[in-house]
Amino acid sequence: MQRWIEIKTVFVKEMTEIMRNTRILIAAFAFPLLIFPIVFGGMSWLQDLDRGQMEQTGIRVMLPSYNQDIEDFITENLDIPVQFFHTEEISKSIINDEADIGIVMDMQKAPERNLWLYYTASRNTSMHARQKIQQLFSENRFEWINKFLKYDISEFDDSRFVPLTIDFSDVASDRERSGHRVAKILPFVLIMILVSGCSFAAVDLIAGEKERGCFETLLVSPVQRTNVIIGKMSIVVFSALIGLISNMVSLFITAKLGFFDLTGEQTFEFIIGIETIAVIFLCSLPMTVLFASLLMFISAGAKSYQSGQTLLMPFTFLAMIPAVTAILPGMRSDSILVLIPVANIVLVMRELLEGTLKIWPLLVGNLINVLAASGVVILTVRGLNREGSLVPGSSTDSDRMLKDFRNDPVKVVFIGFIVVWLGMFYVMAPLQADNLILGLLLTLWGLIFCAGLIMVKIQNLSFRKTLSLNNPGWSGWLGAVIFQTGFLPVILFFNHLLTNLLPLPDQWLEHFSDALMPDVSTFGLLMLMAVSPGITEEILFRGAILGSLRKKWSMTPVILVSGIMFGLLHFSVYRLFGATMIGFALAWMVYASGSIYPAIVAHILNNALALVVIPELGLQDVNEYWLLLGIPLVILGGYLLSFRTAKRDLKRSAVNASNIGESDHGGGSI
Amino acid sequence: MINVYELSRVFYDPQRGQINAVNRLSFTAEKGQILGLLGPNGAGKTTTLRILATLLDPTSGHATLNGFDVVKEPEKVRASLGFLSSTTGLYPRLTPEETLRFFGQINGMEKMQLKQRIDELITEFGITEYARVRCEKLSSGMKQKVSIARALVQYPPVLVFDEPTVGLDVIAAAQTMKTILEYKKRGKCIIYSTHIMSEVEKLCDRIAIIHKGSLQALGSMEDLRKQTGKRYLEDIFFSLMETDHDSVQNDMLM
Repeated sequence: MQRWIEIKTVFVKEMTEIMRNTRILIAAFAFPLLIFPIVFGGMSWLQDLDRGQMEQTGIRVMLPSYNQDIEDFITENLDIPVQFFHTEEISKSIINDEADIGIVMDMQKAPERNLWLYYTASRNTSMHARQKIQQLFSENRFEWINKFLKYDISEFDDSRFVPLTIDFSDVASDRERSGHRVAKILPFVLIMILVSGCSFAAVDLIAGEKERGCFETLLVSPVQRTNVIIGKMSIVVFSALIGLISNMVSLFITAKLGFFDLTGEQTFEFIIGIETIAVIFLCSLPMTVLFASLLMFISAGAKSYQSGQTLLMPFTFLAMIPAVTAILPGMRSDSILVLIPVANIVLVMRELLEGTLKIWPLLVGNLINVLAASGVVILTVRGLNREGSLVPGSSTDSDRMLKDFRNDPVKVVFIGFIVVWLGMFYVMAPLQADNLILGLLLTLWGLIFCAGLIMVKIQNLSFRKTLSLNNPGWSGWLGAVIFQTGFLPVILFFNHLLTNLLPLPDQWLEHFSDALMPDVSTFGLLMLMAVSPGITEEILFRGAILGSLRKKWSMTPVILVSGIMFGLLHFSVYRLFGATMIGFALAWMVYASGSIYPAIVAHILNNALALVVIPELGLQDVNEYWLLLGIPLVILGGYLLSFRTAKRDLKRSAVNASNIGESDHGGGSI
Repeated sequence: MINVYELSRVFYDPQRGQINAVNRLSFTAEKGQILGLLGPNGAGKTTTLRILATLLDPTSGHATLNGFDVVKEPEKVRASLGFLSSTTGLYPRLTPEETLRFFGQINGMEKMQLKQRIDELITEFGITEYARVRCEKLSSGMKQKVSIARALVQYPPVLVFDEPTVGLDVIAAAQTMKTILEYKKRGKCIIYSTHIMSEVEKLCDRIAIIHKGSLQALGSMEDLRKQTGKRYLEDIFFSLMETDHDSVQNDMLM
């Protein structure tokens, strides 16, 4: 019995210590919870971007000669734009990127009614076209029997009743195909080597030296701090590159010696040539500088080597998202991915190995990475030049801030937001998938509304003041209605412009219209989709979050941060822009009117109008006239909203001239 | 050599609000003198020294070291300064010889001059035997010797020692103090910060007693005796602290 008591005592003590260690909590709890939503969310977002772009561009089909049956069939049934070209040399045209897919079908010779699809596995567009065409013909295999009959008048045998069979011919060269196999994993491994190479050195040179007190002695020497930082950054880069070179050399030698034959086609040795290694090395340089400076910056947040390692772990996993996305089947550098650091370099390495690399993704990708690396280097040098960033003990102010959660509104808001976000993702999203109405009600009232109230309660703040539960006066109520009536068309217009850049996938549109729930009455729909979100989301975002943040920050950052959080909670890249803009406007309304009620009215109105306007008119009808209609209303509404606070400020300034300007920061709390 | 005038440094703490770590502190220190900074933990000694070493900026007030302003000419201040903190701050994987060479180089010393200086310091501090052993393998006393040698490598006119005997045994602590006295004789201006009374009594020409960031008393042992009517430094110290009874409790929170 005594043993168990002792074990329990030790357990409770350790548990108490662990629960007070923010870093362990992040590493052991928050990070494992966040990793999948972030990794899969990030990956699917990147894939969506790519897919959206392809669906807009359409596909190019090559046929040996004009064939009305096939061309009409594809044009009528395929939901994306199709262009047809004709040549006898189908394979060559695919290799030369003159078409995405080649279709050959000899319909007159029974029984060989095969549909031959020529494609190349080394091009994303070709793989996409293959998938589309294959699906189309597979679904209509039997329909083609009728079409064959037209050609088979002279002969009569059973073969004409045989449905269409589909065969494939990959025109990618051996080099492309074998490179394809190697390229599936190698770039990812190299990126991980760079990240781990940088992280070990960064954590030792920054967090480790901080712990050992070496920084203090170094920084009291006449050497300039910036030079110390750049000197250290160079060695972090160097050590990561040494790791990369060692890895490449080992790969090269192993390939030369023929220890392995990944491809079965003896072309591996050819792929990993000196030129390939040189290009990979050069492309890795900006990436390494980016990793090195970022990791150094992060490690400066740790006091010891060990806590530095804990801090860097999540970053290592974050770097995996673009890297993993870029090695997914079908991802190519001729897409938007070339603009994303890490993903672009993995794609370039991958295509280099496959032998399909074009010059412009190489240049654009590297240019982007050089710019990103320069930006991060500047930020890191500036950040580490700040007093207290490298010498332990001098950052007492920030250390102590960690100790008092309740008194730090920013921390309450950020942690609260993460909890709500996780709750939405893990609990509410599955619930909504199961039962939409119940799920929505629970999300809005059970999670969002309660989170808002808890945030205020936990800080021991006044509900009335923090949530701005003040009467906005007639001008506030009216202003909200006029403002939002004008703001929605403006947002829809810009959203429409954005949709051209970032096409909505069909799947998403379908999902959205499903969510409108045809079996619910209009009143129910309005209560569920307009009134409930209007009240609950406003209490959280424009009430608790805005009310807490403005204790610490001025108006602009509060509006920006609360607006972005509002956007992020909408869980979709396509709704991010609109929701964030509306978030900014609603937050401004609270400042302008000194009350949350106009924001609630505007939010309800916005959702109600969106429920009616979007399904009735559709986004395709949005044009410049919407702007002309919206902007005057926004101006008038804005004037009315700030009418009362402006008047009050005038009165106040007449009483005490020194109070002028306060309304900017505290208008809403009075 | 060191002039500190109305120096203040404020930190922000959400729990306790504004903390005046150093509050309108003024003192001077001369060539060939040791000024002792005496105060309990959290009195503001380290913050003051960090401002002098240009690691922290003052919130208000001025300080000059060897005639250079700590805010306006930080590089010149650092070139005039040998700084030793309570942690030895040595690179564990470098040898004493390499450590001295590195600090000589970043202080802009020429190769031949540096080589001569390293030999000089190695002989003076009796570390010849360990000159090529990695610092991580040295004893605490030996590490402190290397650390002091490191602070002296560029012939700085001003030396700042922040609790240099923390963690040392009696013999090593005595050796450290002996070295400091030796450098006083050579005309260096020295600031010695500690909370150990006996060290201050043995070493310092003038003593500044600091509490809660403010100067409580400044002068020689004789001056302090006259001011407080007490004979021993410990009694002097406590008589100055008695003005604030809950000080000990507050300091524990720092």
